[in-house]
Amino acid sequence: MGSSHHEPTFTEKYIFPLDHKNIGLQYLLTAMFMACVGGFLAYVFRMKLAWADAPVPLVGDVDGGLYNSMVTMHGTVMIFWVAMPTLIAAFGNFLIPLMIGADDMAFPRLNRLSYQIFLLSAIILIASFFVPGGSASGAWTFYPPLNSSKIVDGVVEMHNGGVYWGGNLWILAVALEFASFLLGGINFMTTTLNLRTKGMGLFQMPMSLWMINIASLVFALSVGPLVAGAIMMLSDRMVGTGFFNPELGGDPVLFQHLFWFFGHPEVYVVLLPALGFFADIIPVFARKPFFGYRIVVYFTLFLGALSFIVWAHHQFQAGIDPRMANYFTITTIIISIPFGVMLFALILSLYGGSIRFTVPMLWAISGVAEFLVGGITGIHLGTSASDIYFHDNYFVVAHFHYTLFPATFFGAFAAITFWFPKWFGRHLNEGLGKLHWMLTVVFFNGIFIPLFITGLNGQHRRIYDYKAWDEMNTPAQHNLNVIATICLLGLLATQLVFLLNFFRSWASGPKATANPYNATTLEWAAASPPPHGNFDKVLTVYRGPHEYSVPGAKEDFSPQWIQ
Amino acid sequence: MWGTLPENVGTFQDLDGLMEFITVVVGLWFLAAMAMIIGFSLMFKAKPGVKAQYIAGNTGKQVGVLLGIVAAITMFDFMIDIRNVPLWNTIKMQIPAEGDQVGVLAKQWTWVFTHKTKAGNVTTEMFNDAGEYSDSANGAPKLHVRTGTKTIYSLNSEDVLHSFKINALRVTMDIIPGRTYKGWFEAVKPGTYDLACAEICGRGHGDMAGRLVVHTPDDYDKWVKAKGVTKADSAPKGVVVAHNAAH
Repeated sequence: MGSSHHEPTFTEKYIFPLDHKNIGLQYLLTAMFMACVGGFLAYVFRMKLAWADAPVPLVGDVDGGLYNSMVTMHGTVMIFWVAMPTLIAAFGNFLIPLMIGADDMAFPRLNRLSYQIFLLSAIILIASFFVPGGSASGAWTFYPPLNSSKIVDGVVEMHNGGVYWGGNLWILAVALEFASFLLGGINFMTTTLNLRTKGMGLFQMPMSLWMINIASLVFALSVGPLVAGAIMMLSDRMVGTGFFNPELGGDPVLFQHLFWFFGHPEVYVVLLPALGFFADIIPVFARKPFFGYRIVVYFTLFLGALSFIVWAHHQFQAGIDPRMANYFTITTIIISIPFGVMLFALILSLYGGSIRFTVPMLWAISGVAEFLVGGITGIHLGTSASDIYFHDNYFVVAHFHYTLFPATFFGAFAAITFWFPKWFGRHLNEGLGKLHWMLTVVFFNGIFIPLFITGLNGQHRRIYDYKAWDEMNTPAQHNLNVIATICLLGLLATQLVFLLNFFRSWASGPKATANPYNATTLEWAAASPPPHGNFDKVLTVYRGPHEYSVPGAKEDFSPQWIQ
Repeated sequence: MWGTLPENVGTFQDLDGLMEFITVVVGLWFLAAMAMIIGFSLMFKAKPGVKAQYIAGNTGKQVGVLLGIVAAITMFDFMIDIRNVPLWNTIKMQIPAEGDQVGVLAKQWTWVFTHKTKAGNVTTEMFNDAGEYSDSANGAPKLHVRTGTKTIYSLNSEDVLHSFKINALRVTMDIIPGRTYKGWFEAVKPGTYDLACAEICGRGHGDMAGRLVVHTPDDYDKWVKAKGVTKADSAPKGVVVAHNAAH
């Protein structure tokens, strides 16, 4: 294994790397940049919601069209260009070979290609802000006919006004992003199945690897229908076909099915890796095994299968046959079972522990608690009759931010702060890390608790100004929106603390040893940072991933690689 | 938290009961889980000389704890399902045969309501044929119904997806171009309530307001008499409306 590698040049390391760790770093830095873009978009529409009559600083007047564009692109950027690249691509790349004791991915060139396609997709998406008519503005779900075409006097025109190239580039960017993640996912699964070192059975793998691989599999199996839908959409827009145009015999609801058949599994593609990180981090700082490892793996596989038969709960009020809603309600509510098992397994992992509240541990525990709020409020929405009231309401917005924000950001911050010493060979600043954690928790809840209340009150989402109504335009609701916006400004400012800590520690943090936490999984057997090729010898695995405080053992940790 | 739902002025009262039931059930789970998270964090904070217990969740008893949680969640799921299905069927599938018929035409970015009355069809929309505001509040067209009689609505869209939503009645139904959907409600309390589009429909989505006006039966008759205009039976063509410049 990789001992004869020469030291890579700057270009080889940062521009066209083949090393999985450097490709992971490319993903991570690109996603951090895109998170800044997504945060800025949130700033624009939240300012409008709080102070509808004032121009937004740095942007100017925000009308209905620009507002829709900001909302659409915020969702698109955060899901496809922040959550997925951070949780799956960056940490999948970094962790998979290290955790299975391999020197690299099975297909390093395919890996490099998947990042390059991803980068191209990000450039195209950013470019779409600057084309005539502006970026896509028909919501991240891109429902037709708003986002598709109509035929006026024989000419193809857009229902959504002048948004033509913005929408086309949106489709192109999303399609390329999917291609990139399909390539990446195939690489991840191949690597995990074929390159595990001696003695590492599937049930000796850390939970992160189970979760990233199940997520990759679910993604690969669900993305096909949406790509078909995207091609049909592009053809409707550019050629004038009528797949989704009722005037030509097409059906707009068909697209919703294609979208959500992918869209619901996609939610789990994002959630699972984060839960995997929590499940690997909590044992390290509770100094005890993860509770119910095998049961959780089985229930996660069950969840992956279940995610393919629940999609129409997004369409209860969208004109599907009402009899179908009864079926989809029952399957949807069943989701509470595997998630209940996972969350309680994480919580029970604390029981009887010797808990150290380090920064990654704080992120993991609070991430579980925040995700719990998102999970339970999903029941209100997955129940078809109760969804009649909540459909397109701010309750929905608060609900999915309580699932996706803990997954994306709590998950990513837990992972970054935990693996930072391994990745960069240096420690982050603990004080700045705790400050960042505390302020993020406060401001995150400060944004979305008010939105639960405005939702219960009846405020609809995607409305740029409530003045046209009476009941949706009360002073109390307005005050809640002001609170949410102020907390968003606080949340955005808080992230500067993280960026400062990240880049300063990368450059000059205190040096880390190979295994600073006394952890047990294989990545801690490599040097910090691991050299090209990762390990200086072939490792053999003797036990499961979370063997802490084993009775009779001398130390309170029993590494996988030491007999 | 519950006091924040708007008053329910229709007959779908059980829906509030269902939402409340779900909130209580998930609220209990939330409290139990949070109590465990906070409790364990305090109880098992690292102390010098105290080693963690080796609990891997792999003995029969420990697996039993997780399976017990599975059984409990399944039971609560089932309790929610058996309340949900009959209610859903009543609201969405059992459309009454008798009632006041109204046509709802949605288009970017306004509403045209056609009321079938004994004096003929009465249409309300943002502007009348002369381009003046016609039966609208702040540019929002009004849908007129009466207490004591069920209202059966049929939904059509002229262009893109819209959604017919009246919070005070707990009514939501998307409107799909090329299809006609029917639904129903019965209002019990006279007054004026918000009516909104709840599916993003373009840059004017936030201007696509309407009002529901619930009359007593007597007031309703007076309104019909005052309107008294009989329009053609076919759905109104709808005036081409410039984007509402109210803002």
